Amino acid sequence: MNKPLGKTIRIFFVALLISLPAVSQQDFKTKINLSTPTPYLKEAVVLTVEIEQTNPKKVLFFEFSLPKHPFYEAIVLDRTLDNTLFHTKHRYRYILYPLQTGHIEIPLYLTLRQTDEDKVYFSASGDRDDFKGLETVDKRIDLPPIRLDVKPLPKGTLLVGDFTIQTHIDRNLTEAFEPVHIGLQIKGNGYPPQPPKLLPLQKGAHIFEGEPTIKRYMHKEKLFYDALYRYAIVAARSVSFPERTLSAFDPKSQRRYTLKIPAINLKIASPDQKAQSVRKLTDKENMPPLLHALQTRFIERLTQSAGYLASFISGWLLSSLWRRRKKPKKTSHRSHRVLEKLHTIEEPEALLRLLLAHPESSLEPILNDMLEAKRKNDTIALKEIKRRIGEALRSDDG
Amino acid sequence: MMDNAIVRLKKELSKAIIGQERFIDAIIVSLLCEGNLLVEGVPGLAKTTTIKALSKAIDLSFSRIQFTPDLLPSDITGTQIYNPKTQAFSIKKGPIFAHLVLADEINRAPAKVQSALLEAMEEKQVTIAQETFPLPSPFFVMATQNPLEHEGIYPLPEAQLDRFMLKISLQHPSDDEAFTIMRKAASKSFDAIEAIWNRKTLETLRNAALSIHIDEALERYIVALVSATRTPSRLDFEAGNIPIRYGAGPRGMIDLLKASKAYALLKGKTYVDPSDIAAMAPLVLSHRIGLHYEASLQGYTPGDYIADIIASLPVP
Repeated sequence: MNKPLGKTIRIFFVALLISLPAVSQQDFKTKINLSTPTPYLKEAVVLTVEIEQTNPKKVLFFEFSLPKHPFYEAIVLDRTLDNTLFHTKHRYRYILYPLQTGHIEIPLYLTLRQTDEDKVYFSASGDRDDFKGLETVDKRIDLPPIRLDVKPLPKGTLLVGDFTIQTHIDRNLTEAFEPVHIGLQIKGNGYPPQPPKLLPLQKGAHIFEGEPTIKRYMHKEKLFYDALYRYAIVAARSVSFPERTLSAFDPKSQRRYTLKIPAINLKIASPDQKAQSVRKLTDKENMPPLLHALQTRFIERLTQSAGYLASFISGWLLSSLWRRRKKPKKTSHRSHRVLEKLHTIEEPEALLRLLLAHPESSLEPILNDMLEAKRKNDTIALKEIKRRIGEALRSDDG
Repeated sequence: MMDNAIVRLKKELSKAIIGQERFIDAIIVSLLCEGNLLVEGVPGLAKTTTIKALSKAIDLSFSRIQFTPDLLPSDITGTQIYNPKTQAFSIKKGPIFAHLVLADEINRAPAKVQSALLEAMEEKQVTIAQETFPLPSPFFVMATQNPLEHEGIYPLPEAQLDRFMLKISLQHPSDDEAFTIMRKAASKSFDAIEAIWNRKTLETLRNAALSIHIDEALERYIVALVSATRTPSRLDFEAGNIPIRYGAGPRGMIDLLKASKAYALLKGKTYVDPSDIAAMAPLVLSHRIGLHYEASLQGYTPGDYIADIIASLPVP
């Protein structure tokens, strides 16, 4: 009797042990909502995932993201994350575009991060250079998968959504190889439209596709597009593009409609249609003779030579003017300076100063005589002194 | 007697030196005034020969210091040498410890080497390893500069130039002098120089130079001349418009006074007259005057500037 009881008690305790420390689904709740479980192919489906902590005694954090899958294309609509301790609450919203018809099952999971209050405060302590990671115990929680039953589109549908199209062309008449710019603007809400292909009727036209300008914005849980597709057409001859019809389908209103790209006729003016003078520009022979007349060439050469001559003359003038400039005061022989000023001096005192300023050994006796006469207050015969100075300097020069 | 001694000295020097009378006069004046001489001249103008001949004639020791860019101050003043045998340091005095020192191409050595020499010239002593050694007396320095060197030189700054009593620029000898030099070069004329002076003679001549009479009017003439180098606009002459950067100062004035007296003694006079002052003024003041670039463009030199000042200054 005791053995079965003991076994029961053991099983009970094991079950209790297994259940207690584990974070149970009762600590949080999830809510997953789809705007429509049966969309058309490429129809926008709004997916809402809400996760809310229900156990206020624990510190829990959630990490959720929609996994990538080839069966759909997802765009994040918004996220609301409330990480208040003990009351964590997250909401994620996506727009899904199913890319495959039939039954699609998308698995979902989230990462639950459990920690405690002390660890949270510790991780946030210190200054910005003292980074501390938050210690958590992470666990993967599988959520109920998303199930979609995707319906096919009507045959030939190119655009899914509610769109309009406008065609812009800068001109219809142009010259050969001059680019013509065309813009196709598609506006509306639905699956992102692909750039339409322009197919010319004739061969020989080059079509360049430019970088499209795409604007996206959200409005009332709908994603709106304003896309401008640019083209440049270069052709040697006139070219025509037929009218194109793009088949479209709006899943919301279940409406089928078409978008028209009107026919484009480009008229290319050939070189033959240009003025007579333009024809002359076209070379018909290899290395044709110069257009300038002989006279023009002669004038050019004459102008060039005159320029060289003018430079030479200006240089010569400059050098001769420089040579004729006022010479510096210093002369090669100091005695010449005495001779230069001798004739202008009319006072013995000035002559004495001059001899003192330019001492020469040959003039020393004359200087001494003048100093002696000055000391004795004798009269100095200026003429006689000048004569003696002149004689002494001339004999000094030899 | 004094002028006889000088005449004999010049005659003795003429055995080895031809011409350069002005140069020899400048050396003698510097020696008598206990000043130092700065010589500017191209190589081969008997600068070294002259001072060597002088040292022989005056019986004073001579040393030559060749200034180079890698010279150190201790190469001039001396240093401590470690003797492994005695395991002690001994002082080795540098070449500056001589009576007559030739500092060749002083502008090739960097500033700190120039300063070492100039400081020794000023204080007449040298300190090696915290020990001070007086320089021999009399002490005379003749420094040379090569005017052709324009690259790799360290020009003496104005403050250092002011320490030289006289500055003379040597010219090439005349043709006749050159002919005589060429003839004498073949003979051993340098050996014929005899010592005709001694220290006592030099001392006596120095005292004699100091006692040469100078009238107060001439002293004022010197003052007026030196101050005119700083403010030429006060005088009425062409050079009043010459732009100058700086003029001579009190040291120049004192040196001009002493040099004028020594020059008067050299001429065998017992008094100074204006010709002595006028003769010494270019040597004493030229290197203490700085002209602006515009003046040098016109070919105007400090010598011309001094000549113009003298030509405008009233003679006492």
